[in-house]
This record gives sequence, C-alpha cells and structure tokens, in this order.
Amino acid sequence: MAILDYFTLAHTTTNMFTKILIANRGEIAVRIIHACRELGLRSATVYSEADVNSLHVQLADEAYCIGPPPALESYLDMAKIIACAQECGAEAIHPGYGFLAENHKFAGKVAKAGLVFIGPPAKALKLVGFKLDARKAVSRAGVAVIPGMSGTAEDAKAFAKEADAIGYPVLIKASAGGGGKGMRVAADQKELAKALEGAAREAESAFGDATMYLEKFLEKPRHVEFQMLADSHGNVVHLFERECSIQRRHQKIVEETPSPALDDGLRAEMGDAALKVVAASGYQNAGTVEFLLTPEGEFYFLEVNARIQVEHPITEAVVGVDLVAEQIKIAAGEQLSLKQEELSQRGCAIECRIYAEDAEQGFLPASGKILFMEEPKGPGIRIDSGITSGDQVSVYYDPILSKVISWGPDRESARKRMVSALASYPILGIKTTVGFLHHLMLHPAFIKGETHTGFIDQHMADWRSDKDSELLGLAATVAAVAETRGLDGGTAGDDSPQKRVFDPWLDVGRWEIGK
Amino acid sequence: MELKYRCGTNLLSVSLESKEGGWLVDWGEGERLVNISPGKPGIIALSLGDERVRAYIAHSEGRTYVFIGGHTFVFEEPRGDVGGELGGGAAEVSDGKLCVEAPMPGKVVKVCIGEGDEVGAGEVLVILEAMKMELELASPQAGKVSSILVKDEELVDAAQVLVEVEVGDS
Repeated sequence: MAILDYFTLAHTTTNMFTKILIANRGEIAVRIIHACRELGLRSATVYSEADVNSLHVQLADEAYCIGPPPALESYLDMAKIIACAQECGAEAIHPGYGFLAENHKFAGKVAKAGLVFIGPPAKALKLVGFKLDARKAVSRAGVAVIPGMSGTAEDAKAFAKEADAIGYPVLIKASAGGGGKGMRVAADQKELAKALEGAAREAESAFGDATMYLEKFLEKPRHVEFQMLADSHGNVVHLFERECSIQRRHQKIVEETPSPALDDGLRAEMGDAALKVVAASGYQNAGTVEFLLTPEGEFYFLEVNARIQVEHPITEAVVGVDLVAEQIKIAAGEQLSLKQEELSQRGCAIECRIYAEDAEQGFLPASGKILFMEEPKGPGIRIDSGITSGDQVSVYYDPILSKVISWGPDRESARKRMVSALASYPILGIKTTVGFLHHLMLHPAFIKGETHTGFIDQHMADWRSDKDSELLGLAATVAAVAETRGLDGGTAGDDSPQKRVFDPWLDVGRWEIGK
Repeated sequence: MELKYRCGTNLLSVSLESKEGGWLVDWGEGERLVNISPGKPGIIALSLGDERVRAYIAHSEGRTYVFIGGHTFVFEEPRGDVGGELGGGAAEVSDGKLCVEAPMPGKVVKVCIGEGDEVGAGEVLVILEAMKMELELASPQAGKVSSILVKDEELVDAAQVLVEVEVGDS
C-alpha cells in the first residue's frame, strides 16, 4: 500500500488530478497539503534554501528546492516553478495566496505549459487585479463603488485637483496593489504630495507598477467581504460574509463571521451585489468580493481578492465547506455541488493572525529562532500553522506564522475560546502578536462588536505588554527561580531547541539557604 | 538572594529565599510564597496560594523568554546606563550618543536629515525599505545629528548603525 493510502481512500473522479504542485510555503502550503491528502492526490511542493527544514517541506509527498532565499529567485520565479511542475508530473499548480497567486502573467504561462492553474482564468485575474479596471466593470454592473477617481492622473497638480473634487481626507491607492502596500492617507493638500511619492515608491517596489489613484477616505468603515465560489459551468454561490475590520497598516489581523453589523436583509443585498461582481468579471474558482460598510449602512465595492484568502478558515467553520478542496475540484472541471439555498451559517468563528512582529514597536517584523512552541488545543479551536519548534524565522517572507481560529455557537463563546487559546499559545524566541491579540480579545469595544478599520488606532495605540505588573513580577520570578536552580544554558554548537530550554530539575533533591 | 533584570523599559529586582519547600519572593509588591512544581523542560508550574499558573521558559544568547498568562516577557541583564531601551525603533544609547540601527536588512530609501541638524523626538531620520514596506526610523529623543553613516540606495544589515545622534545628558 502506498503511503498516501494511509491518509485516505482515493475516490477520485476521472477528471481529478493525480498530483498538484504547491507554489507557496508556510501555513497555506500545509493547508493545501491537507486538502490534497483528503482528495487522494499527491502533493509536491517547492521551497527555497531558507525553508529546507520547514513544516510544508516535511509534510509534502515530494519537495523540490528551487533556489536561494530571496523570493525573486525562488517563490516568484515563474519559469522554475512551471519547469518543476512539468518535471515531477503535476497536472496543476496551486499558487496559495501572495507570491504569484494573483499574477495573470503566471496564470497565462501555466495554461500555455499545458497545466491547470488552480484559480481564476488569466483574463479575469487581469481585470480584477488592476483596481481601476475592476472599479469600472463593477460600476457598469450596477454595484456602488467608493467615490473616487476612475483613472490615474499625470502629475501632482492633477492629483491635487482630483483630491479637491473628492474632498479630504483621501486615500491614495496603487491600482496594481494589495495587502495594504502602496496605500497612504492624506488629510489635506500639504500631505498629499509627499504621501503620493511614498506610496508610489512602495507600489513600484512591491508590484512593479506605480499607477496611483485616489478614493474618498471613509471614516471608521467596517470591512465586510463575501466568499465566492464559481465553477467553469456558470454556477456561482456566495458563502456569506466575513468582517475583517481590525487591521494594522491596512492589513487584517482579526476576522470574524458573521459580521455583527449585518442583519438578514443587508446580508442578502450584499450577497446579491457580490454575485453581480462575479458575473461582471467572468470570475471562476474561489475569490472574495470586498465591501466597505459605513456606519449609516451604505456599502461600496472595494475590490476582488482573486485567491484563497488567509481568513478562509472562519467561513469553513461556520458554513461547513472545505474551500481549498472546492478550489481543486473546480479546477479539475467538476460542477459545483453546492446550491445557494442549501448554504447557511451556523455559530460564529473568529480568527487571529499570529505574526512575527513586535506589537510594541509599530509591528516591525521580527526574526529569530523559535526556541519553544506549544499550540493550544480544545473544542472549537483550530490552528493553521507553518511553524514548529526550532524553526528559524527569516525576514525574506511575509511574517505570518500561524492562525488561531475559534468557533462557538455564538459570538461570546467563540471569543472566550479565543481568549483561552491565546493564553495557552507560547511561542518563545521571537516577538509575536499573541499578547497583543489576547488583550484585543478582552477589550470592551471588541466584546461589544464595535469594530471598524480604525479600531487599533482608537483603542490600542501605544500598547505595552507589561502593563500588568503582577504578571510581570510572576514572570520575573519564574526567570529568577530557573536561574537560581542552576540551569544549563545549552551546550555550544548544540542547535537542538530542547537543550537550550531551562531545565531546573537537572539537579536532584532540595536544598535550603543556610543549611 | 537578589536578581536584577531588565524587561523592555522596566528594571526589576527579584528577591528570593528558599522557604518551606517553596520560595519567598518579592518583586517590589510585597512578599509572596510561591511553589514551583517540576515540569518538563521549558514548562514550569507555579502556585500562589490557591492559584495555579503554568509558565513556559526558554533561554538563548543572554535572553530569558517567559510566557505566562498569554504574554511573553523577555528578560535581560540590566545595562549600566540609565533607561536601556528607549523604544520607538532600534536605538542604543551610551555616553550621550544615540545610535539608530536598522531593525532588519533593507535598503536606505532616503536620508532625511543632514549632519549637524537639530532633531526633535520622533523626527524621522531615515526611510528604510524592507520586505516591500517603507519604514520610517525616527529619533526617540531630541538631539543633534553627529554622524550619518549611510547614503541613499545603500543596502544595510540588521543592527547596522545608520545615524548617530548626540542627546542631552546620559
């Protein structure tokens, strides 16, 4: 019996792939490996030299080193990835999120190579990927877009004129952008020129395209997005919403579903709008339609995320659908087995993203070795992780380490489970956002569901982890006792993480001072 | 015995005395009797009166990491100078000189000040590009720029000193 058979009984249809190449790393690569196992497919993955010992490499059926650590020479190298897929006999490539997931050129090259890109067709990817084009198409379909420019402008003076027409504050955005990069807010004309310069530089560096445009900056909106699945036979469904209002640097760190701000009526309205967007863009496979919802209950199209998203697990928890498996099935040409009228939400789910970042220093990315790590467990707790003890976290890639997802029959129970999970999630050796998120989950405004994109600035700016002096004292006591008991700080040259951990019980027996 | 630690901007003094199989501890908020039960390497179970707390600990390169109650604390040897870490960006102070370091490898996008400039606390000195993001490195304290060690477009390593600022009294 092949090793793969221990994981699942193959039940494949004649269309289904036999092997998929995963062009990604970390927690999402691990997630895709799980879906492959459950569908009875072989998983092959690529990795860079920095990831040689990482979890996704260990778990995949096959792993291929495609280059040195810098992403441009490995995870972003289209030719190497396609060649790898062809050589190992994979029929399809799953791009994960980030890296090449929304690169329409890559999708086109994959198709040309006779392989299947697990995602939307290159043409749809190109349309939704360029925000200015997406806005035009969506507007024509009768869905409201955020007030702003419909094209770019030639120079700073032209931008200033547009900004006056829109009304300050304005949000400067990169048309080719995403992930919060190439975005700046300008409160008045004085800030505009400098902010435009900075944003354009970031956009050029991150996306190779500095086409900028302006939108009205909405005050304290909620970010509400709809998960979509569309097959190649014209069937489309939405799997309800996720609210992702809590962000830092325009990047999400907490997501929840259902949104505390939606009632059934608004949900149906927004769901319909999302379906219109998919139809207007010729979109296929998994994707997300993002909206901004104002406190007055008006919603505007923001953009389409043409990939499986970081926060997909909360939809899986509440709707009971395996989104990554659906992606693979759709890519293999299967008809969507889900019908809109059969889909419903059950309970509530929250996700907290654990980043290797210093929450006390503006969320600067941190690096270092994970000396010790233990994942929380329990009913309603799911951890999607790409890390293990002993991993060296580098600065070459996005600093996401893992995700904690909690589910409960209602929002309060999901929140309490999250609090308990975060309190039991030690990751020692690098700075992480665990402590920050723990405090956030306990914040009265979060408990009340008063979430909006300015939440962190309003409630948790200048956050410090050692505000609780009792906990600090106890922690210092632990350190002091361990030091006093005579510890072995680890033998030189020994990289085993367990050896570097305090073991105060190496000496036998009790002793007392003065005796 | 007494042990001193620095944790961020806090300086702590922990006094320990072995007593009744446990420890009499004072970290500045009065004496407590703490019992420590043996655990696996890296895991320490504490009890204070009726309460039991589980803590995790690891040590590397002079730093002790403790995870307790959902929070991670990093303890180091207290340094000779006052203040230690000043926050707001990687900066080390000694003898009235503040060295602003790169927090990670990156590229200098723009040096925003000149040698001899007077700068205020929080004023941006250098814009660094790292991981496709722009990071503004500001001076945590007011002072005078004494030397600029990098130029535009230069690639820098983590902890490389970029700018030196003379600050008031140390």
